[in-house]
Amino acid sequence: MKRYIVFLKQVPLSTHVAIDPKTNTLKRASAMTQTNPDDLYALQAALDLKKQTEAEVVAVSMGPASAVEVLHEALQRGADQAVLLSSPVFAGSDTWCTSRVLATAVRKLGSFDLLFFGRMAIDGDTAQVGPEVAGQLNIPQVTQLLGIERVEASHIYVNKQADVMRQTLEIQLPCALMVGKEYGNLANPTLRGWRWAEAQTIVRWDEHDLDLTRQEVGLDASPTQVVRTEVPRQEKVIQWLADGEQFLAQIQALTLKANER
Amino acid sequence: MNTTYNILIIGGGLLGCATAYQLAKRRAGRIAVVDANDIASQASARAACLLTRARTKPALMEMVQETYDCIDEIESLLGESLELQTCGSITIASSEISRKGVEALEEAATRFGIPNERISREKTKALLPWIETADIDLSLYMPTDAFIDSAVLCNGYAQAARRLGVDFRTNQPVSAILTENGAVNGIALANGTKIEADIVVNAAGSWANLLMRPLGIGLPFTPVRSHFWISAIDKERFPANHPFTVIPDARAFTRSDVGALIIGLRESQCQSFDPSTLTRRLEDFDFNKAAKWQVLDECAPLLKRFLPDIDDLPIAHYMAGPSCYVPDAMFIIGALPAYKGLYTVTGCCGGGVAAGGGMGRLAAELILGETPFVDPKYFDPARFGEVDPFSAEFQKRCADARSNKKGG
Repeated sequence: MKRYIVFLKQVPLSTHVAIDPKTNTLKRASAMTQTNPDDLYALQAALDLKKQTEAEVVAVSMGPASAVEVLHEALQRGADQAVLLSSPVFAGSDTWCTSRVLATAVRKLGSFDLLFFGRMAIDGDTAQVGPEVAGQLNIPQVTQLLGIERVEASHIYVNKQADVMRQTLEIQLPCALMVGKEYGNLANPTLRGWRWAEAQTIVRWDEHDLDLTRQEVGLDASPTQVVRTEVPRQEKVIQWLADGEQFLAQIQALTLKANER
Repeated sequence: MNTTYNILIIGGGLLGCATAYQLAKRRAGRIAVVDANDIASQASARAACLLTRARTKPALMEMVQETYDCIDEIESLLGESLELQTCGSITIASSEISRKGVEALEEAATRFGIPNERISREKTKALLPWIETADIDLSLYMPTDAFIDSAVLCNGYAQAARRLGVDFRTNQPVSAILTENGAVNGIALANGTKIEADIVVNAAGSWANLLMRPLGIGLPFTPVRSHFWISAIDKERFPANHPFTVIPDARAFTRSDVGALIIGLRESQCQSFDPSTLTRRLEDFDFNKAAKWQVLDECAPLLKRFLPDIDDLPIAHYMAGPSCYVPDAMFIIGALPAYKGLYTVTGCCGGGVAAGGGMGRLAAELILGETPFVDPKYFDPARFGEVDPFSAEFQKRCADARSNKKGG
């Protein structure tokens, strides 16, 4: 049986999220949360392929204890198993350390054929974790997936966005796929799926299960250190135009200015 | 910007905007509506939008009729449609208790002149092909019932009020109602600005008690979670012209819209919220998202008799919002005698869309000393005596009012 592993992240629901003043990282446990939108498309891609191949879909999330919610959602939507990677030791990991934790979890899970990641997380906007996991596992990766044509014993045939072009690629398995909303529509969850998910046991692994140390993962081990964050500010000058004549004069002035350039 | 008005209304939701419209229509002087957010952006945008005409309490039917009248007036005044959807309603009984309730509704509707008709299971099925009719004892069809987008209605009140001269000051949080010598004299904004007025109407909905607290006044309501679920779009099964349903035995209502089925459900123990925990914007407030599936799971066995595939119905959206519930499920409208010039219109009990026009009218009539069109004693803010809306015990009384609700 093929095995697909889908990675999902819990992200803030609101744009109003507290920042930890000591670490300059998001206070995830304090925020109202959701499953990262792109990750749901990654899950959908895996579930669609599962229908054709009868594969097992394993959902994996790294985060605080509350991240179990995204795994429940994955199970409700059709994943077969779920694994939560959670420990205070993992907290504050940058993309490199996060990918190290995820890659280690993949190795512990054993055999796999496809890794599915969301294109990027809305709270970090890096789009780095999926490619970094592929790099750490030394497997091929496809970013900006548009669709999957078919999967065979040792290869998968996919379409991806490549700037303005659409590429069709034959990729050797196992490989990693990065999926966004361009993939298509999400199936809606049901009450029956929720009941099934509620009855499942979610596996929980910490640094001991993964044989990782503070020297390898977490805030202090992360090469990226956030020194300061600030919201970009754009100063706008707003001028109210009283009538059509003023509007016309303004357009003419702007046109003149543009032509002079 | 003006800093002096005759009347200030705090809250740009359905009740504040309807009151502004009713006051402006009566040429009540210089009026401003002040809101911490945009007009119709909070609880009023999260309503189920049903305009159920028949009620067992005559005063409530008068108030709903006033809303229908307001819609006609505003459409004429503005020259544009508020897109009222006259789809009709079907109230369904499948037990002896609910049958008595529907019969009482039938009698009230007939007495008030609201068209109604008992329909057979076959006709119920013809009007609502998705519904399972085997358990239905009685279906009461009211063809003139309608629904309306609550945000469109609220903006309609606001636009009409603006056309009649009312100022709207949005995204300006109010920090205090100002008083002097036992009378109100205006409000203070969070930015330090003071706006003077001899009359202040607190229509701040779920936030109203936060402004009353420093004045030593407790309005007898608290926010209670209301919620509905929206199925995936299936235009053939749930076309927009289907009647909405009220199914007391399932503690449910349903309404078709844009090809999806909206399902409102009441859990056996509704959840109230301490107003002091509310955020300025509801999008930042945690209504307990676990309720989305937990409450659906609790209510599904009841609904299954009428919607057999509820377990497998794809659910596309879930919407939760606060309704301001009062222990007797009646509105709160009138003067607060502790301070001359202080009024409130709140406690919609889930009826702000249907009765908002009437609530605004009664508030306006009481403020202006006109003869009220309904008996105001049922809505007197002081009818419970002194209450502490921040106490858990009182909040539970309010939540129970929703738990025990039977109608739509």
